[in-house]
Amino acid sequence: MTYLLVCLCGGLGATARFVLNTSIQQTWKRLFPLSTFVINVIATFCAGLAAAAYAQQVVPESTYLLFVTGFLGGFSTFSTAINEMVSLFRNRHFGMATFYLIATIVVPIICVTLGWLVGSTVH
Amino acid sequence: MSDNTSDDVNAEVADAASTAASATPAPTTPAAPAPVVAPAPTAEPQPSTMEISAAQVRAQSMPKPQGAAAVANPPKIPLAPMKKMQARFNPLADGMVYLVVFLGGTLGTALRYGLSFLVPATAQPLGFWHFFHLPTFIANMCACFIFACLTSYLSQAAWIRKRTRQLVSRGFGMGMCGGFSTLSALAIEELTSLQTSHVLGAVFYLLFSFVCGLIVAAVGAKLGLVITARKTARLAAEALQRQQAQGGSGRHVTVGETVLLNSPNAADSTASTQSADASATAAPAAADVPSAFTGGTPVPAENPNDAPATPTAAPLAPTAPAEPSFEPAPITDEIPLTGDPTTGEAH
Repeated sequence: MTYLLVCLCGGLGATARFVLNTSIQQTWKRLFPLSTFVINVIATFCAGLAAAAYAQQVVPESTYLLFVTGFLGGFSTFSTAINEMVSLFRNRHFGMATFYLIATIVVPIICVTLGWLVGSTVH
Repeated sequence: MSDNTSDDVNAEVADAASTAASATPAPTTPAAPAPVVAPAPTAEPQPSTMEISAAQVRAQSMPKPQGAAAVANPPKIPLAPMKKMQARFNPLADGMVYLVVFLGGTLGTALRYGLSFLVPATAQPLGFWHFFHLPTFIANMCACFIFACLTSYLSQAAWIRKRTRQLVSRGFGMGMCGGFSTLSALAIEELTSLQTSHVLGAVFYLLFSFVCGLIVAAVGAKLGLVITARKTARLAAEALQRQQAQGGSGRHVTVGETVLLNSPNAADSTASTQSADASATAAPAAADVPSAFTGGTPVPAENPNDAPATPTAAPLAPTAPAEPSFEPAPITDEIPLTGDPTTGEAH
């Protein structure tokens, strides 16, 4: 039962990503893939918050599982980011591809730490 | 075919034209085509320049912006409120895409969550490899490969309907692969590793994930392109075979091209002098002969659609034998579906 709920939360996360992705792409016409980046930033920040909340026993494990493994797992995406890098490399936008690669490695770590800190201080 | 034989063919065309001129009492200038056809061996028209390329057709048929729309920053006109509700104007109003993304995300999450039960959580219980989280890593790599392969395949697969491609790309690409791979779990694993001050293992896991992901995705994209290239080549070969089996010369009839039809008396005079092989090369060579004798050159009817047009032209020929019996290509009729490998226009 928990398994099914987690999967459905993943579907919800994917749908939320589709909505946000399409909304950002309708206004953002530059080369930098902002939509995936923003999605991953939001997801990692929320993951840090949730990890802090779970570590301090604010939320039970089932909620944590539903939100992090289900929703945020479906919301955040590694494969899209990697494929955007590969397509940037293939189209010879080496500078942009390298910048996006470094940003995708560094910024999520900063975001998850920020989320953790925010979650710890709020409690 | 070498130059010698094509010169012979042109000489034959000239012969055929002159015999046709003597045979038919043409009121228009009978000797006019002779100086046009005679220099043909020296200034042979290039078949490539005779044909209208698909890019030219597209450039001519596409509307060019005029007036206020032709400036560098044309004014943006917002969609009408009712059109914003329609899927073909607004992707956010496409209910089918929501459904496939939801189903794909559910499937991807099920795969990822199921993988965490099947595979041990870390590569090693202790030490450096303790912070190498196998389920997340495997899920990310698989998703990267499938996503790259799928997107590069669907971007080239012109033989699949556009709507099908869109739904598959959304459902399996964005939904399933996006739900299968995860960056948030990776970030949390990094966070817990860094909190226990195992910086080296954490950094290695992070960088290894990204480097492997890039390699796997590049391989997947290459594989998708190779598969589509093979399929396209096979489709093109089949289309060419089908065309040749129908007796065509393998030449496309494009928009704006004039298809010349045989008039019966000229066809009689040329049938004795020309072989079937020569007709294929003579067709583009004689395309610029401007007078009545163009009706005599046997342009083979490549399209089956042209075949019913010939009997309609044949009764006209005895009444006005000197008139060139040509008709514009029936661009509004249905043209046989042959995949064009250069442009990918198969539909």
